Amino acid sequence: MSKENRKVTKNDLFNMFARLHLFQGSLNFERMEALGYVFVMMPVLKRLYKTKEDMSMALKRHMEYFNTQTTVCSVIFGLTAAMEEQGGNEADRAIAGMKSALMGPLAGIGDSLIFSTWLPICMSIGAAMAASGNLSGPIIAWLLFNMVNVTAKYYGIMIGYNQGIAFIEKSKGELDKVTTLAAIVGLTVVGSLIPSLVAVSTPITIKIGELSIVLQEILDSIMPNLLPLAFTMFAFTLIRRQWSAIKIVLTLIVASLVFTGLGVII
Amino acid sequence: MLIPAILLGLLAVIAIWDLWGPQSAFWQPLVTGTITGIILGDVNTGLTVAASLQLMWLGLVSVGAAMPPDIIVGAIVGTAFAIITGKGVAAGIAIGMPAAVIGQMMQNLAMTLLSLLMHKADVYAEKADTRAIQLCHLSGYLVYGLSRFIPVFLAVYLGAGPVEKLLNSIPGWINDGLNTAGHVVPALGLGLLIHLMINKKLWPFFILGFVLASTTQMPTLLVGVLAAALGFLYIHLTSSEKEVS
Repeated sequence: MSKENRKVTKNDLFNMFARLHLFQGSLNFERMEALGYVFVMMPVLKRLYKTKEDMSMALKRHMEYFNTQTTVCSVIFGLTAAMEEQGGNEADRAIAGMKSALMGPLAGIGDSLIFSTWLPICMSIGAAMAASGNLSGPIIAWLLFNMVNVTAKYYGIMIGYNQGIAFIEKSKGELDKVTTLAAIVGLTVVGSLIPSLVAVSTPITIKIGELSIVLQEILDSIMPNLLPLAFTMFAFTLIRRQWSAIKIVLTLIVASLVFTGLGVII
Repeated sequence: MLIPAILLGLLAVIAIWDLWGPQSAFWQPLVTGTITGIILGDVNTGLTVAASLQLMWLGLVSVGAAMPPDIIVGAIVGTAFAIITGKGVAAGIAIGMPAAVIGQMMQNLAMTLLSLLMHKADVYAEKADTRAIQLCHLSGYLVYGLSRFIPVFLAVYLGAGPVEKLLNSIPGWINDGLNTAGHVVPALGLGLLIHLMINKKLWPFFILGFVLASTTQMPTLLVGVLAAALGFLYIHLTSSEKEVS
């Protein structure tokens, strides 16, 4: 992409980044984020299309069904800006094709990296602090999450616009590494959260004549936090067996009621 | 309860605007529950209930087009009643769950209503009326705001009496059991995270984290930093192996 052909200004791209923070306000069953897409693209569309006919065609192109995860969608927005600028309304079908080709895979990446990994990691760190009455827990969780979330949105648009399709092809190998690193940090943190978050112990004491044996002390001498680990692995096994989350929640609640009632756990 | 009900309703509005706007994680139970505690003047209960609900609902994120139970209404109403009734985490869970289902219904209602908006927007697209089409989009925030303000306001404003009566009729052993459940159910959230990230080669990292926390007082953030360092090393070693062979 040569510099002379550029009509979209850096300011337009920054406006898109700002508008990305109001992306899903009209989320609906019929076309999900379609109207939001038009809203975010508006600075670029206004820059490029001066006649009523051109603008109408561009608007209609983006009013089609669209749904993906917001953070990673920044890359699609950047790409769209580049394609609108270079191809204009002649690239109508190419733009629509690119959008529907990318929204699925990127939704998968965004949902798993941002919403199912980074968000719960930040929130569990914050919750562990909050559980002990520390008010900075929620604040730190919020800051941690947004360090990644906001940065990714900004660079997503810039990289999508500057590098175009080539970037997506190129980054496939790198993405594997990022996913592995995220999994390593995630798993280590999850393992370290078990003792504080799954705080279950047993109150059982066995009395043999004069001697009373506190079961929890014996468990601790074998391995500290054996019960919390056991409960976590139990839940993990149920997930492996394809149980639905709501079914597992109910099972765990019923088990808590029964075993607490029997005085086995506390 | 009029003023707190209005304030908590507005908190729900900000949270839903965040979820369908910046997505800054302000909508998460940890944040909304804590602020609920601040509004009702009991920060400590707010923090503990918020932490419990956060961990219970760790697995409830919207993936794809299906809408999960609404953790915004669930966390605010749950935490509010945990404080108002003085029954803590057990009440938070008992009230938070059904409240989240009501929130989910409101979400589905809003998404149905906003579908009607699309046909209006189609007309503006035809006419190239950029101002009107943008207003169409932004008006969605009004619908979403109301969809959360109404259930939270009504629950807090009308609910205290009946809810308190209901909670008082719950026998003690159920109360104790629900308190234990607050410690047991996070196992599901952690299990989901493991399931999502695990492959056979990565189990050692999970074990390392568990052992570190069981034997040292190392803060979680530091555990994360250590894991990142080891992770870089792991990736470096595994990728250079491939290049050699």
